[in-house]
Amino acid sequence: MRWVMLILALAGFALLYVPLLILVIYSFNASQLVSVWGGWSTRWYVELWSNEAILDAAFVSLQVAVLSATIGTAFGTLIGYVLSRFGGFRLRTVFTAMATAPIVMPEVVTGLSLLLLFISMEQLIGWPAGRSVTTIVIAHATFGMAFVAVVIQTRLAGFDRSIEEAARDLGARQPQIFLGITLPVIAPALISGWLLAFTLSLDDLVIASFVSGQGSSTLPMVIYSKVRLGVSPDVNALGTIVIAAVALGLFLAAWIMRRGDAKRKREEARAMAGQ
Amino acid sequence: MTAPIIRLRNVVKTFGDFTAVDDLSLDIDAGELFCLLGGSGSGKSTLLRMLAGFESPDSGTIEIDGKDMRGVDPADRPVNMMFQSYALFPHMTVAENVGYGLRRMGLAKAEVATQVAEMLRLVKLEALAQRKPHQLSGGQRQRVALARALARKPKVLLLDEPLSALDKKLREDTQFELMNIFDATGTTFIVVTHDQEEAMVLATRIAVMDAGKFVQVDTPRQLYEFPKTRFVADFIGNINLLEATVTGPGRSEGLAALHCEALGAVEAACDGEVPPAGAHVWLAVRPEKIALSTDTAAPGYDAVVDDLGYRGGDTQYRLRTASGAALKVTKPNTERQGQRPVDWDTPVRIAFAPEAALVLRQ
Repeated sequence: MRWVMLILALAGFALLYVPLLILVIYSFNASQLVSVWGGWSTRWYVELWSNEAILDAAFVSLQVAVLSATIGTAFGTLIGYVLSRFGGFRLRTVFTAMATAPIVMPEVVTGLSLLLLFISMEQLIGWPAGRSVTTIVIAHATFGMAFVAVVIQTRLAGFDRSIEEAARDLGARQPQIFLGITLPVIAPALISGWLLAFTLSLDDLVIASFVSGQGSSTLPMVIYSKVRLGVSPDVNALGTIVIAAVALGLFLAAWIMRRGDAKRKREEARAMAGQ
Repeated sequence: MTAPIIRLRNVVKTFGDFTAVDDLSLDIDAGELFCLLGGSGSGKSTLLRMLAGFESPDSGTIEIDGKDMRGVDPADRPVNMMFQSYALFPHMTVAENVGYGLRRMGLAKAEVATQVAEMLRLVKLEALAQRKPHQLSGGQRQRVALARALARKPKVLLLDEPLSALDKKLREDTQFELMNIFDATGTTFIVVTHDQEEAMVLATRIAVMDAGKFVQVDTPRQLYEFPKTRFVADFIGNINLLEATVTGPGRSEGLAALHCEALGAVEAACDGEVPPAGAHVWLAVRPEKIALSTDTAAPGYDAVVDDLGYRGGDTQYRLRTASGAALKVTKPNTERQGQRPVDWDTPVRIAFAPEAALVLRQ
């Protein structure tokens, strides 16, 4: 029984990581042809570095991800806070469902509807002028916001409300309580919400395709269009860099959290022993 | 006669169709250490939260220090609360926690620092001022919460189950420490607790609550020795309650003669008028007020030891009377040796003075 489980687990991991491994290996392929092995080489990395279209797209993606994650986190936090705190207002359930709808909405629909919105807005008020980085940021912020709202709501559900009451009892007003007490306590959830929105924005192809314009192609869009013309080996190199960046980020986040946790546990144990 | 610091008049609070607080009126004087004692759902916490301002009454008035509290935000009330969970701000140091309320008052930095230092000295935490809450033990956290609530020098301090999170040994020490701090500050304390022993030790007066009402409001001694109802008698301490019928007045003033199924003819004290003959009442006797003798010729009533529990300081006996009724008796173990507990199935005689027993009508 044990070895059956082990094999199944290994098969699962293989399914996840073998494709990535093949991509990494082929990124070091010297051959011009993707499927023919021509020995080891780093030429595609060098070539990538001189490919301005890809560097530009990477910059656009990064810019969009940072901006949209920040805007999405700000609004998402407010939504999550209001939905979990301002208890029994009318249509609360409807609002809760509506706040999370963008998560399950097909991306094609979201993209198309946002495109229509931008076009009508441009006709009516002249802003946003054309499709640009701005429109992608707005589009990404809308779904980033939905994810952040869910993360914040979950965090606030397990939040000891008496610390907010204590602040109120000690003379604090609502804005002071939110900024001085609630926000610092839920900061870790805020950071993970931001990271989630950031990653989702980097990842998105469909919505960006609808709302981007001239000179505002994101990295996934450039990769996708290159692949349609035939997979070139420099895309493998780009993919490998992305994998390395994500792995490093995950490792760092886990390391920081574990270090903080371990320190906290040690201190708690010491305090309890010394009482 | 000074005006009461807290005046409740016909206060009602309902949640949906559940009445948490049912038409309560009460005066609490300045300088009292007042306990609200009751089981869960008795309304004691709701009443405390209404005093703090986190809930508002459906009807009735709450006056604190002579001012009607209707529509007054918790931030503006002359009361502060110590929460059951302590509710310390996890991202602030001990000193920042204690100073939080003072900073909200707009005091200068130096002034805040002085008052924080004074508060920390009061609760003996000067050495831990720069620690974070998670670096403190349970008892230390409790003292931070107390110092933080006292820092604004409230007219009334509200304490919600202040000792329930501590273990038994620490709880006893902390009870006395709490009373010392009460004496040192001169503030009125209102303590909510479900622990009757804690209430007895701490309080100058106790309100026993049940189903949103005050069952009896009295000093600890009055509650224990002169409970007005079976509920209070049973809730505070241990007691034997035996059904009985009044047969007439007793041999002296204030006593009633009863016929009791379990024992036969007995006499017991009445709090107030002697009920008329034929009235159905309960005979209430505390286990420690019953004398137990192995001398079968001693005066009193026959019984047999059914069970006994040696508790170190005293021994609790469960007896069966001649009619089969169960009776609890406790005897202090005053001697270290020589005094053997009475064994199982030993026939004994039990007796109590009429003044030690009480007639309860409800």
